[in-house]
Amino acid sequence: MAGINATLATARRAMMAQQAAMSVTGDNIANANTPGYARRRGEMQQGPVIYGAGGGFGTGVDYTGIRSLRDPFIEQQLRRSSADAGRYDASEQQLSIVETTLGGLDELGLNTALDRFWSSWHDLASDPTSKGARSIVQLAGQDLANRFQGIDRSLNDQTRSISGLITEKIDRANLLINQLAKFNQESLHKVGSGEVDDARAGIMDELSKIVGATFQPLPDGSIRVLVGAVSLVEGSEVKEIGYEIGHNGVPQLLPTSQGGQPLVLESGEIAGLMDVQSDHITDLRTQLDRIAVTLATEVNAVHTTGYDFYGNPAAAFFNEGTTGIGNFKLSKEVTTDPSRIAASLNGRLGDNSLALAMGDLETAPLLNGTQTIGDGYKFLVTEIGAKINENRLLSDTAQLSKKQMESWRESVSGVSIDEEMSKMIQYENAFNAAAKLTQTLSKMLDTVMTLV
Amino acid sequence: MRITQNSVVSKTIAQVQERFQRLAELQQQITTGLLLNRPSDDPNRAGHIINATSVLNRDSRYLKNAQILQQELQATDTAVSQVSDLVSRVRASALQGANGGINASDRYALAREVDGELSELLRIADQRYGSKYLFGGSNANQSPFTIEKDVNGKIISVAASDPEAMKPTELTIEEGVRMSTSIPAGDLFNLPDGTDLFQLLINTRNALDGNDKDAITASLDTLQDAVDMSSSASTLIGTRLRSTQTILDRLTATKSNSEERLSSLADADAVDVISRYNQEQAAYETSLRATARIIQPSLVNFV
Repeated sequence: MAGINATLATARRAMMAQQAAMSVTGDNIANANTPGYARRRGEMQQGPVIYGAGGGFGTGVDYTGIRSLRDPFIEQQLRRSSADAGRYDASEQQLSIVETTLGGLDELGLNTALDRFWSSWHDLASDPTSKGARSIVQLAGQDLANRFQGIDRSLNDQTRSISGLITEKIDRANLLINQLAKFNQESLHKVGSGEVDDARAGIMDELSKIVGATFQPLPDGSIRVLVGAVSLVEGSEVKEIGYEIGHNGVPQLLPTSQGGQPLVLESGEIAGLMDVQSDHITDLRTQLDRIAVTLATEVNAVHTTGYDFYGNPAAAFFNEGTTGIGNFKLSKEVTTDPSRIAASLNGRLGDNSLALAMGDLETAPLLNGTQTIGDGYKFLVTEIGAKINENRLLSDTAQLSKKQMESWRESVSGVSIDEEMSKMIQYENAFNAAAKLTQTLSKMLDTVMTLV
Repeated sequence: MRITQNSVVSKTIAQVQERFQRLAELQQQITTGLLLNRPSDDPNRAGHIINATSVLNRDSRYLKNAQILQQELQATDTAVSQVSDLVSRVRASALQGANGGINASDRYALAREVDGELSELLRIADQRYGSKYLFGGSNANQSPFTIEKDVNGKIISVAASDPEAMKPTELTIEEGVRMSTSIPAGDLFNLPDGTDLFQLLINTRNALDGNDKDAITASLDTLQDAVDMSSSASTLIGTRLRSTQTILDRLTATKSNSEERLSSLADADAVDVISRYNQEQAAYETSLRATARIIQPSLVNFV
């Protein structure tokens, strides 16, 4: 049989346990809106049963500590979808900047400048002796050159800013990797501590969003960090993500070990940014360069067969050294004097055959013998549009599964106010009951004392 | 599944956000009047819009060219009928000169009349059109006909300054189709026998001046050829004008078709968009109202 004092101890432990649980509830309520916080529960366990005369007697409750409620599987899924979402979000953002640069549906697109350019030649054809019509051709050519160069500048700026973003994110990822390694060292002493779990989960969330890393919990409480099959953190050992700035300022990932393959990122924001830079922008630039070079070459080929306003053999119309959109400009002669623009093929001022031939270039299949210059541009606009569309679809899918996983995580780890309120009442009642028990026992002791 | 306040709130925010986004898209369509804001909204349609815009631009250009062509052809038509009248008048004078009943001084007077007609013919042949010559072809710097006069100022010969350049200029009026803005000067001024109208008038005037009745009579046939020729040139140009008008009508129709096509591709249908906007707005407001109700209560309100 347990003595009054033993029961008093039971009541005391019960009050302490309920109080501890109440403080966990308080913690949960306070952190109801803290991102990355997983709700906690004060764990209680039945105390050991003591056997004596008259059988076994319970010793009340043991408060065993705090448990964070997390589901590792859901968290892993969530990180995977957030890595995908990170990738497609990053590329969507950049692709829409490319789209704006390229234009197409507004007056600022290349197509408008091209239309004006061809129109100006038709106008010159209908008035071949006019200096004014030549000035208009000059202006239209200049406008076209400005737009090509404007696209060039925008793409260069964007490449630079993406490079900056990539290096920034790699640096951030390396910082996070090092932090995880540090936690690995400490985790040996602090297994099951809610704060460590939460902080570590936050880092893992961010790291998977940036580089699409996956995580393997190891039996000793540490976590192995993987990108693809390459392990970046093993215990307290760290392999940082290395990069070098390649040609034209674009960062390239380095192998993580001597003589190995460069690190391949399949998901995460860096992967998305690299996609845009190495695939989309490079592609677009190659095709625009081809359009610019073809246009300059073909226009020059027609122009140099003719005679200018002065009756002299005409010089090139566009820069003869055009190698792409960056140096697409009018030739020096045409820039300085619009009268150097030719309309005539036979040297007579009133002849407009050259201007007519120039106007015909608009509908001529100059690109690969199949596409007109305008078609080539249109193709680029629709191609980028389609890429953005496809990307948006992938991004939506990733976002959807991310949201779903988030709601699963919330379901497991989120704080419910209703629940905490009912727990509060529950703990309050239990605490009160234990206090009542103490009071009763105290009365019992008094009674015993009066017997003395 | 366990539901928390947070999951309700974040889901609701996402849904309200989605509704609001749709509302914003419709609002943009209403304010811009355009269906697409950027090509990625519908890349395929964007491609068609770019195409249709180019086609419309090209149509306007061809239409403009056809109008320029028509104006120049009309100027040519006027010139041709003037020449036709003029040659008939000269033939009438020659007919009068061939009459046995008139004397040398009468013929002298007739010769002066022919001289006047000759100057008039030169004025027509040499006339400027804009910054070039109507019958000068690509010859813009010098007048297309070179005149030689004797000491008394009488015209004694007229020759084409630059026969190579006399080909009339052309304009593109449809893809791959070019049309001359005028008729070749030769069609109007060259005679089947290898001489030209100017020489014929000079010869007639000389015959009248020389009081040479036989020569005058002989010139009557050639003058008749010239009348026939100028009236056939007139017919030719009339036909050309009519076909130009047909082309112009067709180009106008094509252009308005292209406009319609572009509009149907690019423009937002106001009625459709506004009614959808109202619908979305109602849905948006409903979801806001519902959200305000759902988020409020929790157990806190009741203990």
